[in-house]
Amino acid sequence: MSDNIVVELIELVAEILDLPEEEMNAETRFLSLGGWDSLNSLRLFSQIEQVFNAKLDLSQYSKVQTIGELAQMISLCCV
Amino acid sequence: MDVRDLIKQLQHLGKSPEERNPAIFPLLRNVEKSGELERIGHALAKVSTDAISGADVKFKPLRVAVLSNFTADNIVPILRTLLVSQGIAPEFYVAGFNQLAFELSNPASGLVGFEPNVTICLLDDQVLLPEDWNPADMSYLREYGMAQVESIADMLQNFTERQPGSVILNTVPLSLTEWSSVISVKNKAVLGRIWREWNSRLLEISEQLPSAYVVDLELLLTDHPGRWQDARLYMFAGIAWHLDVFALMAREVTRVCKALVGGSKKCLVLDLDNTLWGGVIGDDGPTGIQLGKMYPGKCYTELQRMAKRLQQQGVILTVCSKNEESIVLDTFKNHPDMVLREEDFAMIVANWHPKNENIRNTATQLNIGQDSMVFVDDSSFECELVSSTLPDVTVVHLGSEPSQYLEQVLRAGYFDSLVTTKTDRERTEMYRTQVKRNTFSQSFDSLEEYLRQLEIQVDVFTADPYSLPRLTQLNLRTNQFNMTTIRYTEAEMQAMSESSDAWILGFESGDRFGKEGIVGGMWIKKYDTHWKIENYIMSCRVFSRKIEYAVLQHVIDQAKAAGVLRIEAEYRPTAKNKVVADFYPNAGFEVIVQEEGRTCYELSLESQASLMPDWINLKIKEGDVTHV
Repeated sequence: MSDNIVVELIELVAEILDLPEEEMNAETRFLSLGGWDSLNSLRLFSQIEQVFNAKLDLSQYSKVQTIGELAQMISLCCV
Repeated sequence: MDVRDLIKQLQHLGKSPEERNPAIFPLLRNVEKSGELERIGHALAKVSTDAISGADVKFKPLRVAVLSNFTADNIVPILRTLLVSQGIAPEFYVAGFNQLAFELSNPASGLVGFEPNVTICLLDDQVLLPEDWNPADMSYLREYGMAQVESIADMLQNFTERQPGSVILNTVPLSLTEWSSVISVKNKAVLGRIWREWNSRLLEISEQLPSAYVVDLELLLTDHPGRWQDARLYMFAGIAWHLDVFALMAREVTRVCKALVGGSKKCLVLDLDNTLWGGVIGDDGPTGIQLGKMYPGKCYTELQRMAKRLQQQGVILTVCSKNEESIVLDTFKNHPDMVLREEDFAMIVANWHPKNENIRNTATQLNIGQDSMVFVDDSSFECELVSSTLPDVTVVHLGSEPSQYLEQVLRAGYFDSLVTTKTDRERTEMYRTQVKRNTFSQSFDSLEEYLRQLEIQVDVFTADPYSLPRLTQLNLRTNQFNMTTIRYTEAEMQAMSESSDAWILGFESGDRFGKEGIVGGMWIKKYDTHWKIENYIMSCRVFSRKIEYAVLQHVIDQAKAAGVLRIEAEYRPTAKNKVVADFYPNAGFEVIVQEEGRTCYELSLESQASLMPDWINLKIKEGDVTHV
């Protein structure tokens, strides 16, 4: 269910950080990614809402650690 | 190419500086969503504008500073995409959080050192409201907010007096959360009134400072679908606006920037059948077309009203239609529901030639660039023909729903300018005269014989507060006869006109067909031993009459009288000013510096042969200049 979301999410994260997609999978932790900071985290937050047409809870979003967890969260929030 | 591919291409170019991909530039104009503008803008930041466009596109550099009292960095990538899509290569300076007052007032700030051409000051309601305000004490609130606005106005005044660039700010929407915290209906109305007073005062800054422009964001938000603030991002990071609102503001800023660098369109080319009226006049006859007060006729009548309003502000209207000319002229003359009449148009072209040929011919006749034309038609065939053969012409394809036409023509702001002047109101007449003059010229054997019959009169004058707005505008609009394309702001020009070391000279012209008003100017710096012509511009309307030589000779005579030994001048080539590349050598100037991007010339004033053509009568105008 959230596999497609994982793929799209990886594309988005790779684009925001300007990193190759091949370096990421569902288990990848955001903090392990080069260039990940609060600014990029907010950019990703805003972009997810436009790209996936989802409304996320910021307090939950800030606790998410891996790409897979975030994909899961998006799949529950898609409107 | 979808957005993701586009960004991948850009990121690739960012890592391979030697590569180019000219296919990207035309795609940027089609990007609409705020999120996409933002993503593309981030990728664009690492790519030079040359790498995404063909050699024929010359980007205009612009230094843009962003100041704000909230976290507004989001506007930068969006604005970058929009500016680049309009042929502007921006360089940004972003001030730290809430550094607005410090940056504007401190003469040694990073902002001042950056020497911005444009400084954007983004404001949200926290700049006007105290943190703790008491809804029971509205008079205190009113004074507090007004004092805040006055202090912004003062800072901007000092800033624009110290440095030459332009400033853009916004009116401030009131957060509905703040508004809802007032519980009485009566007091809500009081708060609303106070709020409008503050915004009114912000708008007034535009009238008070010549180089300040105020975007009426509060009004623009009336058409904004959704919330303009995202409470999560505001509480978490102090980001007061939704990404869509940053995009809304960035679009308005782009319009101002485009007008500042001289990119406004000048001419609206209109189709007739199913554009200016409903139906096909050749089939339905003049009495059968749709116009008037009922749908769908109302849509076409409203489009005519809108075109008339543009014409009153200086936009040149022309018709390009596949029709019998006689039936078209008859309709313009006799149909009771027509708002536009023949005299509202500089040219009416109704024939059976291909439209691209007609438009090319119209541009030649009016002597305007094809890139200053906007062509409006309902037919996808005609739109495709024009856009594929005349890539510089902007094409608006109307489609089949006439109630959308107004918005389709107006929304992009093609014709937006910074100010309008008396010349704008008379422009149609001038271009109509020009077309008549072209017809007259065909009856003479030699050009000189024709020019002698024209009875050309040139009046030169020193710029004053009445003529500065028109000279500023001319300086922005003129692309062909523009020696250095230095675009002065009105504030800079005002300073020059008051200085004894500088001279801004303007000139008007007229002939037997009518007056042209102010058609050119020269910006001169005076030194002890020589004068330097910093820029020389002339409207394309008066080309090919040697008026430029007459005015130059007048300046030479003045320099001689002042005891000056030589005059220096400069030419900087652009994509559009090739027509004057040889002007100074032709006038007898010698090259003294030749380098990439500029050539400097010098003219020794000893034994200089007069350049004054015998068909021009030049007078110095003093006192009663008819300011246009």
